[in-house]
Amino acid sequence: MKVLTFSDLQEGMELEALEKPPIDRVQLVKYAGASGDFNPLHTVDSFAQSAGLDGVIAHGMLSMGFLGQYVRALVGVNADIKQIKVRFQRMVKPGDVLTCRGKVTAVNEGDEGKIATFDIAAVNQKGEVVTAGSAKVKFFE
Amino acid sequence: MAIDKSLIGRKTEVYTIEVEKGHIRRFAEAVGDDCPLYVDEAYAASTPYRGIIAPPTFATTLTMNAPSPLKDVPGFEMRRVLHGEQEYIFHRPMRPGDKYWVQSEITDVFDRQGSSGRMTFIIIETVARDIDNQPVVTGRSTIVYRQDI
Repeated sequence: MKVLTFSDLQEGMELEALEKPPIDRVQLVKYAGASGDFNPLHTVDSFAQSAGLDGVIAHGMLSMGFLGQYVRALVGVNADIKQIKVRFQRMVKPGDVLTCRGKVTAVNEGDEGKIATFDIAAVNQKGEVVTAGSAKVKFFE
Repeated sequence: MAIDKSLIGRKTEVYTIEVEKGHIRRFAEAVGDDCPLYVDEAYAASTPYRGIIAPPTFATTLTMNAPSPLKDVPGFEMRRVLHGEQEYIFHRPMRPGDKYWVQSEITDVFDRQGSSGRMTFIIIETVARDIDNQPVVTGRSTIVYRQDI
Protein backbone atom coordinates (compact mmCIF):
# COMPACT_ATOMS: atom_id res chain seq x y z
CA MET A 1 0.00 0.00 0.00
CA LYS A 2 1.30 3.43 -0.89
CA VAL A 3 2.09 5.39 2.27
CA LEU A 4 0.50 8.83 2.30
CA THR A 5 2.20 12.11 3.01
CA PHE A 6 0.33 15.22 4.13
CA SER A 7 0.73 16.86 0.72
CA ASP A 8 -0.97 13.86 -0.96
CA LEU A 9 -4.25 14.53 0.82
CA GLN A 10 -7.28 16.30 -0.55
CA GLU A 11 -10.74 16.45 0.96
CA GLY A 12 -13.06 13.93 -0.64
CA MET A 13 -10.20 11.75 -1.86
CA GLU A 14 -10.90 7.99 -1.81
CA LEU A 15 -8.13 6.01 -0.13
CA GLU A 16 -6.62 2.74 -1.30
CA ALA A 17 -8.52 -0.25 0.14
CA LEU A 18 -7.10 -3.08 2.28
CA GLU A 19 -8.63 -6.54 1.87
CA LYS A 20 -8.18 -8.83 4.86
CA PRO A 21 -8.05 -12.65 4.65
CA PRO A 22 -11.30 -14.46 5.59
CA ILE A 23 -11.99 -14.51 9.34
CA ASP A 24 -11.91 -18.01 10.80
CA ARG A 25 -12.57 -19.51 14.21
CA VAL A 26 -8.87 -19.88 14.97
CA GLN A 27 -8.51 -16.12 14.57
CA LEU A 28 -11.41 -15.55 16.99
CA VAL A 29 -9.77 -17.79 19.60
CA LYS A 30 -6.41 -16.05 19.10
CA TYR A 31 -8.08 -12.65 19.34
CA ALA A 32 -9.94 -13.67 22.51
CA GLY A 33 -6.63 -14.66 24.10
CA ALA A 34 -4.71 -11.59 22.96
CA SER A 35 -7.42 -9.06 23.76
CA GLY A 36 -8.71 -10.62 26.95
CA ASP A 37 -12.29 -10.63 25.65
CA PHE A 38 -13.41 -14.14 26.52
CA ASN A 39 -17.12 -13.55 25.97
CA PRO A 40 -18.17 -17.03 24.73
CA LEU A 41 -20.39 -15.33 22.15
CA HIS A 42 -17.24 -15.34 20.01
CA THR A 43 -16.03 -18.88 20.60
CA VAL A 44 -18.88 -21.18 21.76
CA ASP A 45 -21.74 -21.87 19.33
CA SER A 46 -24.19 -23.10 21.99
CA PHE A 47 -23.70 -19.90 23.98
CA ALA A 48 -24.21 -17.78 20.86
CA GLN A 49 -27.43 -19.70 20.20
CA SER A 50 -28.66 -18.92 23.74
CA ALA A 51 -28.19 -15.25 22.79
CA GLY A 52 -30.47 -15.69 19.80
CA LEU A 53 -27.77 -16.05 17.11
CA ASP A 54 -27.11 -18.86 14.62
CA GLY A 55 -23.58 -19.35 15.92
CA VAL A 56 -20.47 -17.48 17.01
CA ILE A 57 -19.80 -13.97 15.77
CA ALA A 58 -16.51 -12.11 15.56
CA HIS A 59 -15.52 -9.61 18.22
CA GLY A 60 -16.53 -6.13 17.10
CA MET A 61 -13.10 -5.06 18.31
CA LEU A 62 -11.46 -7.39 15.76
CA SER A 63 -13.02 -5.40 12.92
CA MET A 64 -11.92 -2.21 14.69
CA GLY A 65 -8.46 -3.79 14.89
CA PHE A 66 -8.54 -4.21 11.10
CA LEU A 67 -9.40 -0.51 10.78
CA GLY A 68 -6.55 0.40 13.11
CA GLN A 69 -4.23 -1.67 10.90
CA TYR A 70 -5.66 0.13 7.87
CA VAL A 71 -5.10 3.63 9.23
CA ARG A 72 -1.51 2.78 10.17
CA ALA A 73 -0.93 1.23 6.73
CA LEU A 74 -2.28 4.39 5.07
CA VAL A 75 -0.02 6.82 6.93
CA GLY A 76 2.92 4.54 7.77
CA VAL A 77 5.20 6.37 10.17
CA ASN A 78 4.45 9.74 8.57
CA ALA A 79 1.67 10.48 11.04
CA ASP A 80 0.57 9.71 14.58
CA ILE A 81 -2.92 8.28 15.16
CA LYS A 82 -4.78 10.61 17.53
CA GLN A 83 -8.29 9.21 17.55
CA ILE A 84 -10.34 6.33 16.15
CA LYS A 85 -14.06 5.92 16.72
CA VAL A 86 -16.40 3.37 15.22
CA ARG A 87 -19.92 2.01 15.40
CA PHE A 88 -20.45 -1.75 15.14
CA GLN A 89 -23.32 -1.90 12.67
CA ARG A 90 -23.56 -5.48 11.57
CA MET A 91 -22.37 -8.83 12.87
CA VAL A 92 -19.35 -10.56 11.36
CA LYS A 93 -19.28 -14.35 11.11
CA PRO A 94 -16.51 -16.86 10.45
CA GLY A 95 -15.89 -17.00 6.71
CA ASP A 96 -16.64 -13.32 6.16
CA VAL A 97 -14.10 -11.33 4.16
CA LEU A 98 -13.71 -7.73 5.28
CA THR A 99 -12.26 -4.94 3.19
CA CYS A 100 -11.24 -1.66 4.80
CA ARG A 101 -12.10 1.46 2.84
CA GLY A 102 -11.49 5.12 3.57
CA LYS A 103 -12.03 8.63 2.39
CA VAL A 104 -10.40 11.91 3.38
CA THR A 105 -12.97 14.17 5.07
CA ALA A 106 -10.80 17.05 6.32
CA VAL A 107 -7.27 18.36 5.89
CA ASN A 108 -6.10 21.16 8.18
CA GLU A 109 -2.81 22.84 8.87
CA GLY A 110 -2.97 25.14 11.88
CA ASP A 111 -1.95 25.61 15.50
CA GLU A 112 -2.54 21.92 16.19
CA GLY A 113 -0.22 20.91 13.35
CA LYS A 114 -0.98 18.96 10.19
CA ILE A 115 -4.22 17.15 10.92
CA ALA A 116 -6.28 14.94 8.62
CA THR A 117 -9.50 13.09 9.28
CA PHE A 118 -10.70 10.04 7.40
CA ASP A 119 -14.01 8.27 7.22
CA ILE A 120 -13.21 4.57 7.57
CA ALA A 121 -15.33 1.47 7.11
CA ALA A 122 -14.99 -2.30 7.09
CA VAL A 123 -17.22 -3.77 4.40
CA ASN A 124 -18.09 -7.46 4.02
CA GLN A 125 -18.08 -9.62 0.88
CA LYS A 126 -21.70 -8.64 0.19
CA GLY A 127 -20.77 -4.96 0.19
CA GLU A 128 -22.46 -4.34 3.55
CA VAL A 129 -20.80 -1.96 6.00
CA VAL A 130 -20.12 -3.87 9.22
CA THR A 131 -18.07 -1.35 11.20
CA ALA A 132 -17.64 2.32 10.33
CA GLY A 133 -16.43 5.55 11.84
CA SER A 134 -13.60 8.01 11.62
CA ALA A 135 -9.93 8.45 12.35
CA LYS A 136 -7.86 11.54 13.07
CA VAL A 137 -4.13 11.59 12.32
CA LYS A 138 -1.42 14.17 12.88
CA PHE A 139 1.46 14.27 10.41
CA PHE A 140 4.98 14.68 11.75
CA GLU A 141 6.00 16.91 8.85
CA MET B 1 -30.40 -3.55 40.81
CA ALA B 2 -31.97 -2.84 37.45
CA ILE B 3 -29.92 -2.16 34.35
CA ASP B 4 -30.85 1.51 34.21
CA LYS B 5 -29.69 5.02 35.10
CA SER B 6 -28.97 3.95 38.67
CA LEU B 7 -25.70 2.50 37.27
CA ILE B 8 -24.34 5.95 36.38
CA GLY B 9 -21.28 6.77 38.46
CA ARG B 10 -20.30 3.17 39.20
CA LYS B 11 -16.55 2.92 38.81
CA THR B 12 -13.76 0.45 39.22
CA GLU B 13 -10.87 0.84 41.58
CA VAL B 14 -7.74 2.27 39.99
CA TYR B 15 -5.68 -0.70 38.83
CA THR B 16 -2.30 -0.94 37.18
CA ILE B 17 -1.25 -2.64 33.99
CA GLU B 18 2.12 -3.10 32.35
CA VAL B 19 2.54 -3.13 28.59
CA GLU B 20 4.62 -6.10 27.46
CA LYS B 21 6.41 -6.46 24.14
CA GLY B 22 5.29 -10.09 23.76
CA HIS B 23 1.68 -9.12 24.36
CA ILE B 24 1.87 -6.44 21.65
CA ARG B 25 3.27 -9.07 19.27
CA ARG B 26 0.50 -11.58 20.07
CA PHE B 27 -2.14 -8.90 19.67
CA ALA B 28 -0.80 -7.76 16.27
CA GLU B 29 -0.61 -11.40 15.14
CA ALA B 30 -4.20 -12.08 16.20
CA VAL B 31 -5.41 -9.10 14.19
CA GLY B 32 -3.19 -10.14 11.28
CA ASP B 33 -1.41 -6.79 11.35
CA ASP B 34 2.12 -7.18 9.96
CA CYS B 35 3.26 -3.57 10.53
CA PRO B 36 6.92 -3.77 11.69
CA LEU B 37 6.45 -0.80 14.02
CA TYR B 38 4.86 -3.17 16.54
CA VAL B 39 7.47 -5.92 16.51
CA ASP B 40 10.77 -4.91 14.87
CA GLU B 41 12.91 -2.96 17.32
CA ALA B 42 15.59 -1.91 14.82
CA TYR B 43 12.99 -0.68 12.35
CA ALA B 44 10.92 1.08 15.03
CA ALA B 45 14.05 2.83 16.37
CA SER B 46 14.63 4.33 12.92
CA THR B 47 11.18 5.97 12.81
CA PRO B 48 9.90 9.18 14.47
CA TYR B 49 8.61 6.94 17.28
CA ARG B 50 12.19 5.89 18.12
CA GLY B 51 11.02 2.51 19.37
CA ILE B 52 8.23 -0.05 19.36
CA ILE B 53 4.72 1.19 20.02
CA ALA B 54 1.44 -0.73 20.36
CA PRO B 55 -1.25 -0.81 17.66
CA PRO B 56 -4.09 1.63 18.40
CA THR B 57 -6.72 -0.94 19.34
CA PHE B 58 -4.27 -2.62 21.72
CA ALA B 59 -5.99 -0.14 24.05
CA THR B 60 -8.74 -2.75 24.42
CA THR B 61 -6.32 -4.78 26.57
CA LEU B 62 -6.26 -1.99 29.18
CA THR B 63 -9.37 -3.55 30.66
CA MET B 64 -8.08 -7.13 30.31
CA ASN B 65 -8.11 -9.06 33.62
CA ALA B 66 -9.54 -5.95 35.24
CA PRO B 67 -12.84 -5.53 37.00
CA SER B 68 -15.67 -4.05 34.97
CA PRO B 69 -17.91 -1.37 36.46
CA LEU B 70 -20.70 -3.82 35.52
CA LYS B 71 -19.21 -6.56 37.69
CA ASP B 72 -21.50 -7.78 40.46
CA VAL B 73 -24.51 -5.85 39.18
CA PRO B 74 -27.33 -8.22 40.25
CA GLY B 75 -29.28 -9.59 37.30
CA PHE B 76 -26.72 -8.50 34.71
CA GLU B 77 -26.54 -11.16 31.97
CA MET B 78 -23.61 -11.30 29.61
CA ARG B 79 -25.69 -12.96 26.87
CA ARG B 80 -27.72 -9.77 26.51
CA VAL B 81 -24.64 -7.64 25.79
CA LEU B 82 -23.52 -6.27 22.43
CA HIS B 83 -20.71 -3.82 21.78
CA GLY B 84 -22.32 -0.84 20.05
CA GLU B 85 -19.59 1.74 19.62
CA GLN B 86 -15.98 2.30 20.58
CA GLU B 87 -13.84 5.41 20.60
CA TYR B 88 -10.20 5.87 21.56
CA ILE B 89 -8.35 9.12 22.00
CA PHE B 90 -4.59 8.64 21.97
CA HIS B 91 -2.81 11.30 24.00
CA ARG B 92 0.48 9.56 23.28
CA PRO B 93 1.54 6.14 21.97
CA MET B 94 1.46 3.09 24.23
CA ARG B 95 4.94 1.55 24.54
CA PRO B 96 6.34 -1.71 25.89
CA GLY B 97 7.60 -1.28 29.44
CA ASP B 98 5.01 1.38 30.24
CA LYS B 99 2.93 1.09 33.39
CA TYR B 100 -0.50 2.69 33.54
CA TRP B 101 -3.02 3.47 36.24
CA VAL B 102 -6.42 2.69 34.79
CA GLN B 103 -9.97 3.39 35.94
CA SER B 104 -13.33 2.79 34.24
CA GLU B 105 -16.58 4.53 35.06
CA ILE B 106 -20.16 4.29 33.82
CA THR B 107 -20.79 7.84 32.62
CA ASP B 108 -24.23 7.51 31.03
CA VAL B 109 -27.13 5.08 30.64
CA PHE B 110 -30.14 5.61 28.36
CA ASP B 111 -32.83 3.56 26.64
CA ARG B 112 -33.77 3.18 22.98
CA GLN B 113 -36.47 1.11 21.39
CA GLY B 114 -34.93 -1.30 18.86
CA SER B 115 -36.26 -3.98 16.51
CA SER B 116 -35.75 -6.60 19.24
CA GLY B 117 -37.37 -4.57 22.02
CA ARG B 118 -35.99 -2.26 24.68
CA MET B 119 -32.27 -1.70 24.50
CA THR B 120 -30.30 0.05 27.21
CA PHE B 121 -27.13 1.88 26.16
CA ILE B 122 -24.37 1.97 28.76
CA ILE B 123 -21.43 4.33 28.23
CA ILE B 124 -18.20 3.29 29.97
CA GLU B 125 -15.25 5.65 29.97
CA THR B 126 -11.80 4.26 30.69
CA VAL B 127 -8.73 6.43 31.20
CA ALA B 128 -5.17 5.12 31.39
CA ARG B 129 -2.69 7.49 33.03
CA ASP B 130 1.07 7.34 33.31
CA ILE B 131 3.19 7.73 36.43
CA ASP B 132 2.98 11.52 36.08
CA ASN B 133 -0.83 11.23 36.10
CA GLN B 134 -0.94 12.32 32.44
CA PRO B 135 -3.57 10.60 30.28
CA VAL B 136 -2.20 8.17 27.70
CA VAL B 137 -5.44 6.76 26.26
CA THR B 138 -9.09 7.61 26.85
CA GLY B 139 -11.57 4.95 25.77
CA ARG B 140 -15.32 5.33 25.46
CA SER B 141 -17.35 2.14 25.00
CA THR B 142 -21.04 1.97 24.22
CA ILE B 143 -22.52 -1.29 25.49
CA VAL B 144 -25.96 -2.28 24.21
CA TYR B 145 -27.96 -4.30 26.74
CA ARG B 146 -30.88 -6.11 25.12
CA GLN B 147 -33.58 -6.14 27.80
CA ASP B 148 -36.16 -8.16 25.85
CA ILE B 149 -34.39 -11.14 24.26
